[in-house]
Amino acid sequence: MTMAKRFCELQAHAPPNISGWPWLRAFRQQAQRAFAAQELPTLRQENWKYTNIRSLSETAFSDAPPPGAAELAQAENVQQTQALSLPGYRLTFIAGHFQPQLSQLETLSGAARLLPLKQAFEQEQALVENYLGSAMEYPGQPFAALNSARLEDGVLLYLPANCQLSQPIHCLFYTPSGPHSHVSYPRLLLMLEPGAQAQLIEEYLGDPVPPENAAAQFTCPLSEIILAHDAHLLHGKVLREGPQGHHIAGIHVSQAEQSHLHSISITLGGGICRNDLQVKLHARGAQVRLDGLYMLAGRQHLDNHLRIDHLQAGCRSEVLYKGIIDDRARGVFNGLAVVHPQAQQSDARQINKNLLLSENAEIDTKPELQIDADDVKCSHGATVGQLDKDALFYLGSRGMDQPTARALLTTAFALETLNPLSQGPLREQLAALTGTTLTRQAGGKPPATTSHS
Amino acid sequence: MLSIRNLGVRIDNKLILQGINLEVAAGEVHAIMGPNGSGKSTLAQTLAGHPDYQVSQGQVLYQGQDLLSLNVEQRAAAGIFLAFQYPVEIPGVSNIQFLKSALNCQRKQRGEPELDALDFITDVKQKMRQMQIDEALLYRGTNEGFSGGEKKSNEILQLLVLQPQLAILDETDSGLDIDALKRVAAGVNAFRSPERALILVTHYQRLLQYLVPDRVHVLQNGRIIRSGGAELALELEQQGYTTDTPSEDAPTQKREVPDDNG
Amino acid sequence: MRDDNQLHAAVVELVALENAEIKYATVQNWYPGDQHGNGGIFNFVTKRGLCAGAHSKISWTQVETGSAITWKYPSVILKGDYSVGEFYSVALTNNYQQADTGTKMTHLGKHTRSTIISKGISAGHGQNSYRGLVKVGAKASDSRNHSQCDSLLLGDTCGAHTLPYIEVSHPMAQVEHEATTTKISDDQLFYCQQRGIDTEAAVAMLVSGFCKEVFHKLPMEFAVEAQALMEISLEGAIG
Ligand SMILES: Nc1ncnc2c1ncn2[C@@H]1O[C@H](COP(=O)(O)OP(=O)(O)OP(=O)(O)O)[C@@H](O)[C@H]1O
Ligand SMILES: [Mg+2]
Repeated sequence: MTMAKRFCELQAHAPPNISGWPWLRAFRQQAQRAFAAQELPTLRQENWKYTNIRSLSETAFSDAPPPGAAELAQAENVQQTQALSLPGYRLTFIAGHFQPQLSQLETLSGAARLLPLKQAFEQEQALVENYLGSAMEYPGQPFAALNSARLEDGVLLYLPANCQLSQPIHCLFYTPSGPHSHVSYPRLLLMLEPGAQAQLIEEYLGDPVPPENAAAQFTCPLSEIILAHDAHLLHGKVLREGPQGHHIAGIHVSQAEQSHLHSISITLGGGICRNDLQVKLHARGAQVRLDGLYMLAGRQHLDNHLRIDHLQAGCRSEVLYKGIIDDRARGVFNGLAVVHPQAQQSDARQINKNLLLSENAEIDTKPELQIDADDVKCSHGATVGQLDKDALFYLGSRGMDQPTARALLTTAFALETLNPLSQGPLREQLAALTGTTLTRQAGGKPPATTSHS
Repeated sequence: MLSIRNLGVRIDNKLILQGINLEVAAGEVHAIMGPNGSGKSTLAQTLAGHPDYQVSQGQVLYQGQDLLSLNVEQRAAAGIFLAFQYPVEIPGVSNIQFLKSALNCQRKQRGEPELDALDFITDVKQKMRQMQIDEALLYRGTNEGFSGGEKKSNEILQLLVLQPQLAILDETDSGLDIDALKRVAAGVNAFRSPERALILVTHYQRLLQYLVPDRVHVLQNGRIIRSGGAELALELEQQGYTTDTPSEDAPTQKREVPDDNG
Repeated sequence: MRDDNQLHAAVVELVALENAEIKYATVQNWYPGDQHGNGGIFNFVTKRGLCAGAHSKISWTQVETGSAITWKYPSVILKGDYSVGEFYSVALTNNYQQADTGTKMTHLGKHTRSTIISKGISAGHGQNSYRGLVKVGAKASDSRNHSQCDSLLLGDTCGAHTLPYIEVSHPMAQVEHEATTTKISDDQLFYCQQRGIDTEAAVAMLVSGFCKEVFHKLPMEFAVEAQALMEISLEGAIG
């Protein structure tokens, strides 16, 4: 029996059936077949070499039911005390179910659309049918297939040509903890037509202090991003699940000529987590910048898998991912830049830097270049190390005590990933979150050996 | 020796030089001056045969032959030398290896025998002493990590070793300290002979005190708008390039500002 | 007969005890097949080293210009405290050659050091891959690695691939990996040509400059040989 089959069997429910839209049923069935045809990944697969999801695939997750009053109250509390507080639009979900009373939505003018996906199935069928599944492929992506087979709700954003949203869109996905193991499959579909601009932040939150014997939860989101000519998107992802919150996400991006994507991915909490970020630069002048920061503690496991395909000439990609890993946590980084034969004048740069703070922490990093064109500038670098001794000495010579000096340098190390963000509430709050996490990491123990950049 | 007729040059389809005419006879020194971006380096690079510079019109004769039909290394073997405004760094290829290889390739193209290794090194070292270049630079990567002035001196060392016929010096004087400038000028003077010609691209009168030009040309917007004798350089230094400025307004203190940051 | 492929499958094992040092250098120029990729040697070699004792050192240096296909990953297990592992490699592929090579540095002892310098040159339809593992075990405190993997592409039909694996489970380890992939710089080429060096000679010179750090590690007479081999193997690569 394949693990995929087992995974399906363990899920007590059949795929939910939304009647009335044969195309959606067909879409799901096709995805279900694609999922069933694949083995669930094991460590023997190159792309999953460092991430063991056995415990996940053997847990009986059932589809999360709509929230009760207690969960609603808890969600409201989390939203007010834990979540980012950004101006603009907000869509809040509890275990995958949209919550209008916790959201802030208004009808966008003209042809622009921002609404929950479920509602879009009814109201914007043509848009959904046209774009759903268009920026992704199933082979090698079992969880993208799984999400597609089970998707029920999520977010649809459509911006017509030259529509520029000045306010950010904040999508908050709260996973309540509880005695039963639940799974949800949020789906985001973002389409920006030529010249359109937007900022969208996905935030995944669990309970900061889950009750004892809380069961494992699983979130399996998928975002499809389609950027037309000269479209600009700032895409943020903040992952702060609880220790029992497992998370396997896909972000699949398709970029046209002169389009820009700036993605910032911050992971501060969770159980077994994985981000598959796949970017296809389809036409000349497309640019992508992927920044990431992960601060892992406890037994957290985070696997960031990035793949950027330079399909045509004159595209540019830049990656900066940094990690600080403590306790028994484990970080995995795999960044692959592929320059296809016709993609001359490609510029692809990639950097991954890590600090290990504890004897039991581990990092496995694998920056890859696969180049089949000659007129290219490609580079990657990866480091694992400690704080720069010369810098520590310099700060010491100015009278700073060691813990302060370490804290200062560690903060500087982490915050470098936020530098490309413009000043504003998003950057401020991400910096503040980073600061709190660092203080927490430093608090438990003597500020250990640490790092270098 | 060199005859440029109505030369037009484009880069990336942008017309930079639009109809240059210039005659340089053997033994002569010509100075080319002009504001930043006027096309001086473009002219120099075009003469050397840089592939990015597309000749859109005109003709260049060098020693009676069509220069434009030769590729860059054929031009070098025929005796054209360009001292670059920004000499490129070549890590891993030592300066001495570079020089030797250049000299022998040129000799081969001209059908001359390779130079004896010992004669070669003796000659190079003697010229390095003349230029007061630290011998250690011989064994470092070509121009790799050289200071601005060291790069410029190294270009003149190459000039002395390679012994070309027509040398084009693109702002070789920028970035040199006072003594180094004198040495560079002395080096270039040693190179001069009745058979050889020199084109100096410069912003400053100072170099021209040591290397007195027969003709001075002003390049502006891709055209030579004025030519004159050595005195023209002095006039330009006092008055600047804006021709409509009355001479009494020209601040004479400009002479005291040798902002050689090339 | 020359249209057939031959297999070369050697095994080399090195063990260095306390304070011992082994330098193992290879210059490989087996028949690479013809310009259409017919024939040639399959060069599948196992090379591994164990730095068993404290302060021991194993250094692998290789220049691979031949063979139709090369698979070769000389490795070092750094078991002794203060032991040192090195891997210096130049691999050149032209026509339809493939080279897949790299190293494994496994740091087990304390204060262990490893250095990896890999230079891959691809021309024609040649494919070059660097595949390597640097592993720092949980007891290997104060261990260091530095890796530099550069690829040079000559022509638009060849390929270069860099696949480094880095696994670190000690907080006092310091691991740095850098890799670049570029073509020959137009500016450098023009500079050489302006001094009268023809294109082929200029490319050969720039390629040898690119490989210099590795050639330096070879014994003198090997270095001269390697240099000459590179030039022969590059023939016809520039058009
Ligand atoms: N590769 C290029 N692409 C586009 N424009 C270029 C390129 N190279 C030069 N130019 C432009 O051509 C013009 C002439 O440049 P050039 O370098 O010849 O000036 P110059 O007279 O040497 O100036 P300077 O005194 O500052 O050295 C400038 O406007 C420059 O920006
Ligand atoms: Mg210039």
